[in-house]
Amino acid sequence: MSAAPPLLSLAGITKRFGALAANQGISLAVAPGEIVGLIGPNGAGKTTLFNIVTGFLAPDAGEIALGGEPMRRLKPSARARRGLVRTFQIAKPLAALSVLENVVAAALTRFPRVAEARREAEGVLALVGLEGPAEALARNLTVGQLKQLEVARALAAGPRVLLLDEVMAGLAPAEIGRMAALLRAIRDRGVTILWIEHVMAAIMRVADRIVVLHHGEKIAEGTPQDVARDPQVVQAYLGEKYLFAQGA
Amino acid sequence: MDAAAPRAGGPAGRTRGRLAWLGLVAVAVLLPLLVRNKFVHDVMILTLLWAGIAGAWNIAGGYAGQISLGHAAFFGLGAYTSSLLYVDLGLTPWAGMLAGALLAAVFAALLSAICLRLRGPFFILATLAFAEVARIVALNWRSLTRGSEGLEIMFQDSPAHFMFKDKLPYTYLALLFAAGILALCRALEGSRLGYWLRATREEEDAAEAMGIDTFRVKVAGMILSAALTALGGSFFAQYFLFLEPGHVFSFEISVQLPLICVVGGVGTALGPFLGALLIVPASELLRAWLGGAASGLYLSLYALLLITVVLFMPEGLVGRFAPRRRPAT
Amino acid sequence: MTLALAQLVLSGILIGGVYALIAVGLTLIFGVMKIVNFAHGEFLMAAMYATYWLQALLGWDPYVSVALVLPASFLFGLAVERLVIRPSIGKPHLVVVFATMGLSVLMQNLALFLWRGDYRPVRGALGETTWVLGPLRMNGALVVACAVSVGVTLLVLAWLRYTDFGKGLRATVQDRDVAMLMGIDVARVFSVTFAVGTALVGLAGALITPAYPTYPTVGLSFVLVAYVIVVLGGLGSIMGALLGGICIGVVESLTGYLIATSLNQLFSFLVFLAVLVFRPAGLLGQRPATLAGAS
Repeated sequence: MSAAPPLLSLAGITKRFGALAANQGISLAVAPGEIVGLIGPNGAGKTTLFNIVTGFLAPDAGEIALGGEPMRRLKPSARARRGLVRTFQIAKPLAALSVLENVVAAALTRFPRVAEARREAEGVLALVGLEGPAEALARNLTVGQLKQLEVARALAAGPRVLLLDEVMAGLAPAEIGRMAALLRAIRDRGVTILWIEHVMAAIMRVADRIVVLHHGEKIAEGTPQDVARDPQVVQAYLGEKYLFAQGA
Repeated sequence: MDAAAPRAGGPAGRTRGRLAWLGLVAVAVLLPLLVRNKFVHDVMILTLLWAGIAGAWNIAGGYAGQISLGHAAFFGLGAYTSSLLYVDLGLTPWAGMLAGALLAAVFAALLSAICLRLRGPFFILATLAFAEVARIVALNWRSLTRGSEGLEIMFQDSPAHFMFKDKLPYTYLALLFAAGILALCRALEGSRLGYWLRATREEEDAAEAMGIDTFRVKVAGMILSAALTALGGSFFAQYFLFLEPGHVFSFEISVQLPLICVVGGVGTALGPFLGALLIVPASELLRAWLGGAASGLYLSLYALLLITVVLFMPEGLVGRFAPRRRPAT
Repeated sequence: MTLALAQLVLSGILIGGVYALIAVGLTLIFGVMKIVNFAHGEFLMAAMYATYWLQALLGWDPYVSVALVLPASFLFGLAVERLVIRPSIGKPHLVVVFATMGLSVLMQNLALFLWRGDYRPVRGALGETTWVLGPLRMNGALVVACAVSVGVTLLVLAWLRYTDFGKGLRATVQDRDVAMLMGIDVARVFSVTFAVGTALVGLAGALITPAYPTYPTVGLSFVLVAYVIVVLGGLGSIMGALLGGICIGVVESLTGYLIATSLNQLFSFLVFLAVLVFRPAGLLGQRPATLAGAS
């Protein structure tokens, strides 16, 4: 547990859609260099939280701060430029552009000259493992490659905190292993990660800390082992105990 | 829908491509000199003019994906600005053009502020409304624009005032205009703005998440597009020497620009040119042939062409015959 | 003075009812299929011409023509949906925009070519009659048109709420993919929706002919108002279209009296832009015309 001040802090995030409370007073602190996993049954409010943190949705209440700087009034692109970058659950590739161009577009936010951005993009693609299809059109990629592209683009944007939304969904086991290694490599480069995931085995193994959401509330927080044993969590996932047993 | 990528075929293909370009340029430059037929010159001038203006529309509509059906507003604005500055204040149209472009840029910024938040079809409708407002204002502000009587520019053989006796200089100026916009679009494709325009078009949310200020990018695209369109409008004014709101703020113009781009290939640098090459001479011939005798038929055919092309070949000529493929490398 | 005002308001309500019917068709199509039919006004024009020719050639009263024009509009809508709309769905937005816009220009100019720009009035049984409500006067044809429009709109609302098909349609509005997964034939929903929307505007066309002459670009003036109503009432909201229609009818009636006719259209456009800017969610709509920050 790091003694450093949190890099990303959420305080009392609340969001209602009519009668549905998608997020109820969620508070969370992510220390620099941590990989924090966000889990919870479907409908728990995880993606809503991401949307709020990254500025795509305005909360009814609550504060978000990145490195102490409040993010409330900033639009998504402003937050991204300050280092709060996300991927999307359903990949959004720039379909008519090539893989490389996708990443260059992101790199250009940090390197205004196209030549430099290109070099940066090529480096990121190599890290992610997507340098092979660099010239292929994004619309022709496989699901696994699309996920890799999501991560590559996010990296090229220069994140301090990277928010990953189900980056392993739909991947084959070998791809999951590769992605897990990639996430560790990203953390080793100094990027903090907040990660929504349903592939339990992976997230329980890779994350330093797990936060559990259920019906919009945070019901547990702790190491993967502690969370797996938490009776409230088990109850929330009733019927999926076996997943925890495997991951713990 | 971008064709900036290297064409398949490697170095041999590229040399062939370059030769083709050279050939085209040679034809474009020599044709006006060799063929002295007035009608041919007229068609050449109009083709190049519309190719350029469609190219300008393409910046907002093709690259940025902001489909505007109101570009006639910028066209008319350019035409009237340079003409009124000349007729009422004696300012040379060479400078008046720039004033027109500037004014169009301001209006584009205004339009953007109002309309860019709007979703797809409602943005389009808003641009339509915008152009119609411009037309009606121009029509009714008689003290300024001479209303439906029209504004006439008295001819003087005076290059300093953008008027030439012979069609030849107009032809080369139109060529310069068109070539300039083509070069600009190619440069745009490889530039940061170009990347960001296309990113915004493809996936606006993803672009925002990457740190691209999509609003600023769309405004930039719209302003650039509007200013260049206005330049075309000024040229038009100096060529025809007569302006009338129903003419220059017409819906027909607003439709012709996207039609040319769709036929040629939206979002490509070459698309507007191929589209214009195909459509303008054909429509001029059609107009000469059918003319006033069968009003309505001409536009009906136009519309039919639009529907057919957009349903069966939405990627346009460029997309169909020179699509972005994975190169041999 | 108040009498004149009341008269204007009444006339406004009457025409507003018809506007509402036109707008309901448009909003239904947009709500379900998420597309704007740029040719909606031309469908109105086509129905008006059909009514005109049925009278000119067969001597039919416009209210009798409705029996033919309504189903014909429905079939026409089915045909357009199959030939023009269906191939466009799923493709870039550009395609359906230009396809319907092309259709709009095509129909206008075909009408111009075939029948020239002359105004074609229709002699309806009630077109010249005036009914009296106390000190107020009403055009008989407009009263009928308004009554039928409102009645049909309420029928549409009932259809959506109480029939199985209507429920399937509302499900499609909420989430097209989930609806498909639940076994709803979305393609059929689209077909029927578009056809119904066209039928509604066709009905409106037939109904107003006693009061308004037809000409190639008549669709433009009506459809512009319809767009304003749709946005004002809220995209996809039938009730909103009805209420919005009445509101706009009244506003137009009042402003038409106060502002010169040449500027009347300008006013409509400005209102349209103003509504888009200031109240993109409309009066009753849940779905705004603006892009949300979120997907």
